[in-house]
Amino acid sequence: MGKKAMLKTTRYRVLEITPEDVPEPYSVLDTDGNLLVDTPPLTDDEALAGLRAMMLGRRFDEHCIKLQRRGLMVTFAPGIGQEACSVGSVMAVEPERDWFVPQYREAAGQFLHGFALVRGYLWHMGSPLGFHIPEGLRMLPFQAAVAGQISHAVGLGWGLRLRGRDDVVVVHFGEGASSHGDFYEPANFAGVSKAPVIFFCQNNHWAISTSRPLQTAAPTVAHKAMACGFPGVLVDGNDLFAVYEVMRDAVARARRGDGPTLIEGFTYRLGIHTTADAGTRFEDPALRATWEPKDPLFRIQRYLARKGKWDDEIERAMEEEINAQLEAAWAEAQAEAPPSLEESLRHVSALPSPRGM
Amino acid sequence: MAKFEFHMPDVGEGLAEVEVSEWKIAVGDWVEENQEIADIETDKSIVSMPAPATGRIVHLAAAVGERVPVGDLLLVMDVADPGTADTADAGAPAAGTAAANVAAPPLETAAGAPAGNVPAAPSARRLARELGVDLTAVPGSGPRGRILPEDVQRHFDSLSGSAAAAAAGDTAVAAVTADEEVPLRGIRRRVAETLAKSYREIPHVAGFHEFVVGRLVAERERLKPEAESRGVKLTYLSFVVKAVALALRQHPWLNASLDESREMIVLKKARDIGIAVSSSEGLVVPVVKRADGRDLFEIGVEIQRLCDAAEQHELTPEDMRGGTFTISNVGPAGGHYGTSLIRPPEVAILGLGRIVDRAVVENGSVVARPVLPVSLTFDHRVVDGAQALAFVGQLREYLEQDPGSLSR
Amino acid sequence: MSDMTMVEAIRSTLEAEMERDERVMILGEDVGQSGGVFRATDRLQERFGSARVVDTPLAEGAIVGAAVGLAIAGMVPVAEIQFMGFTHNAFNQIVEQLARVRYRSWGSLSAPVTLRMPCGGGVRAPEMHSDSFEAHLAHAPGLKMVAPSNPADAKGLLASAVRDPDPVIYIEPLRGYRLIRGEVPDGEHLVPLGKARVVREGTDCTVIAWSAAVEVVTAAAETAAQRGISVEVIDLRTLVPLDAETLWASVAKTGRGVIVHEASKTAGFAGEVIATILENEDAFFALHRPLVRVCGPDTPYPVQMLEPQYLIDEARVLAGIEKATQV
Repeated sequence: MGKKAMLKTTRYRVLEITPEDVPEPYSVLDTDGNLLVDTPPLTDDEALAGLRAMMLGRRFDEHCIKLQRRGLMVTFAPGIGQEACSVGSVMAVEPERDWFVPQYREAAGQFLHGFALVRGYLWHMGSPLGFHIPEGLRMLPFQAAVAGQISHAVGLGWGLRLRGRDDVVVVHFGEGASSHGDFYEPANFAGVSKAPVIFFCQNNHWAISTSRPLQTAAPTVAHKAMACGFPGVLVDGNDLFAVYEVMRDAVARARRGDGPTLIEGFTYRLGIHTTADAGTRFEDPALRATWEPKDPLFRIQRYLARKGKWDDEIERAMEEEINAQLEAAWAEAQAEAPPSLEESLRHVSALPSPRGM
Repeated sequence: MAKFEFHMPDVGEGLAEVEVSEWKIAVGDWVEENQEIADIETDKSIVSMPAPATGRIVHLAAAVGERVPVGDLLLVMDVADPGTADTADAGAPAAGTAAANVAAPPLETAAGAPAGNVPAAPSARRLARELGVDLTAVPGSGPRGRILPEDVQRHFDSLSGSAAAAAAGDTAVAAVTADEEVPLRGIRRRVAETLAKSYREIPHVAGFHEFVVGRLVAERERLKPEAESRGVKLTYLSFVVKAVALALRQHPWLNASLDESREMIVLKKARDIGIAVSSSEGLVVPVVKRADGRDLFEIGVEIQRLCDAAEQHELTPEDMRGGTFTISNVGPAGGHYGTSLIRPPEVAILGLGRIVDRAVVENGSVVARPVLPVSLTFDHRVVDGAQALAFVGQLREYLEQDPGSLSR
Repeated sequence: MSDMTMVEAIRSTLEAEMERDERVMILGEDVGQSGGVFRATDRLQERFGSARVVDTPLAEGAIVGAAVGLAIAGMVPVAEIQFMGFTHNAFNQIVEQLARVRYRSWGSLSAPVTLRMPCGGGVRAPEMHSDSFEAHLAHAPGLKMVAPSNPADAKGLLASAVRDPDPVIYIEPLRGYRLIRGEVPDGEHLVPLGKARVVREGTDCTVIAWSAAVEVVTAAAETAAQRGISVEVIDLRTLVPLDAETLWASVAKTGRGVIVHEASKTAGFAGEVIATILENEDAFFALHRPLVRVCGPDTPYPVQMLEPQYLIDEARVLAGIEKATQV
């Protein structure tokens, strides 16, 4: 963070964020998978389950990119490199009661939260069947309008409280969305209403081609929470353990009725923005090179390997299992007949328009 | 092994064409599904192209550096099993199915006489249509010559007035009402369309012939008891159907159809004889199937069934299907000769008049003999005059000379 | 029956609906302690508490977006947008989000949200506080839209809107909040969505209006009758879904029509009404003259000194009727 020119006066107090106020992102594991704290927040089995969820998301994204290139899918936005953010978030909530409100880059977390793989494929094939939320799934459909879902999460959390429940809502979005009125307005709302919402900003450094410095002059996205009267946390978004730990604390706070938290997951878009726009025109390869070794998968794999819980054989077995799972879901998705435009009329209102087609 | 053609999909959002930057495989290579096979440069970026299926590359449709329009062929593979290849209709949007679902409804054509661009409000146009008034003949009294409903009524009244004047002298002059209008619908519309097309497109040539059918009359008398015992009404039509079907075996060019789109004359193997029958809804043409293979009595039964069904409006689509040659029997209604219109895609139609005694010269003297007037109308694009006459000669052979052969 | 103003009818209906169903809640700017800038929610917070009648921060986008989430959580939110012109601050949340909750969850979620908002001018409000933007919202599939013209309909349509399983835009005539009075049925009174009302029968010309314009049109119809023109007045009541049958039957009878609205003409809702009429053969072939629009000019809603010239008055409606009933 660069030095700020402080407003010099002694006659009144100026509110400014000093460089000392800007922390390093909180990490639990270093890039080699070494533990930086005394006790890990997840057991080895939990870590392995988290790793599997991240790998499933990664392989799904890779598969979808290939399918899109073959003309079988609509424009696709992968979450490659950012899997620890959504998986760590979902691991900290209870899927049978808490809600996960995605933007569109959170496949890994969505599947862990209970969203069926086949619906993931259908969704990206452009089938409306992928948008259907089955009974009992606490998730909203993915949101193509950046930041559009954030106020829904606030209303949802607020409503759950009005209905006498202590369930919480986690909403994901990117640092680009944090510039949007649809972020500031509901964030401010949540502060006032103490809605049980965790705002999780995946700062992946790019909004299509707009780099993080062009997005905001705030030293961190997490600082934006302060203007709304609730806490913000900056966390290493490529560290599953760290994401889980700060999420766990924020969920507990929200459940207690103490209101929202803004978490900035400091991560990087190792994939592409979407299949319609790769980063080759604007991305500094040197910046990218600094992030490649920080891949969230390597880190947890090295941690587990060091504890004798991960080796080539385990990895191969897991990859095979995941591939079989993906292929089965893809086959199932292809077998779904596309719905008709007539059918879509029935989903505009409870009673279809008298005008019909 | 099956051929699998892969067309360039839109890998961006709304790309028109892409450029092949590099092929990572060559013709003859075996590739696995999703293996990287090429780098493709779009307007926006370079992307890696995965193999669409597992199999052998047999053709690359674009060279490196060549631009390929989205939807054009990119490569061809031999794949192990076509069922395993995910068949993308690459040129179309991934999920686009709407267009295929939309079947255009039949157009209702505008009713009423066209009124050109005469100025008139919809209300005046409706009244004109109801009264059968031609708007172009109506003087408009409205602003800038616009025709008002009153103008239409006045015009109509004046026409009715002259009609009434023409009827003057009657003690009670009835008010002339509008002509009755019957919408062109159903069978009548199909008849209109079919016959107009026939008349417009087919060069019709007709020939007229008289068959002296004393032997046929006698043959029918001979078979009557058997027919009655079988409950069959043996009409002359049954004999003609049988004779026609047999004659067509030897004269296939009259049992043909012309397929203009393929420039082919199709000589039909089936002899399925349509018989034109009038019903209250218009002319219908049920078909006696495989008439050459049935005996006279069977044909008689079938004709009776079809005529009854036509009267009861119970003909099934199956009863009407097929038809390779048509017979139009105007005899029962008192007709003599007439040209008939060919029913496309058939190429000939036989008209039958009524059998009556006529003066016939036999061995130098005039005698009265039963005569069957026959007209054969044929499509001159397919059938020549000589062929037509040969066919008529064959019919004459059956009906005039040897009707007994029809029941053998 | 009770004699009430528009705003009294709205307030009492909200109260009755909140009593009927504890999931019904009100949110918006100044709706709680102050009871709304037009007092449409007067003393409701006192009665139902600040959890159900909520003063929100000043942010229309979040009011609508939060209402979406509240509805998914099982509440029945009635959100107030203080002036219709401010809907544009929430345009994305209304047309992209609220309107599509059911569609983009393929029928698995729904948003029974009522958005109340005053519309129209004539009260010397500041700039941008007098707009009539019904056409902007009518174009979004998934939204219903009602615009009552009298207190009885205000009650019946509001109760139907609150109970509808989908979002309903409820437009209130700002100028008529206190000026329009009328008899309101006591107890349960529902006016079905999608049904227009023939206010006055006539044979020479159909005049179609909604919201505050109905009162002006009805007065003009009386004057026209004195001049020998029999005018049929139709109050649309619901703009979406439009009651085409009533329009067709009336125009098929009269063969002439005038559509009146305060909003500017280009792409205004009158265009939709006219197109709908022309799609019907009985109505179309009955026409003697082109249909006539009496609308605001294509300028933004003006500031106060121009207001009297801008507003639709009886004289302009009469001029429209005369134009439509020429030979």
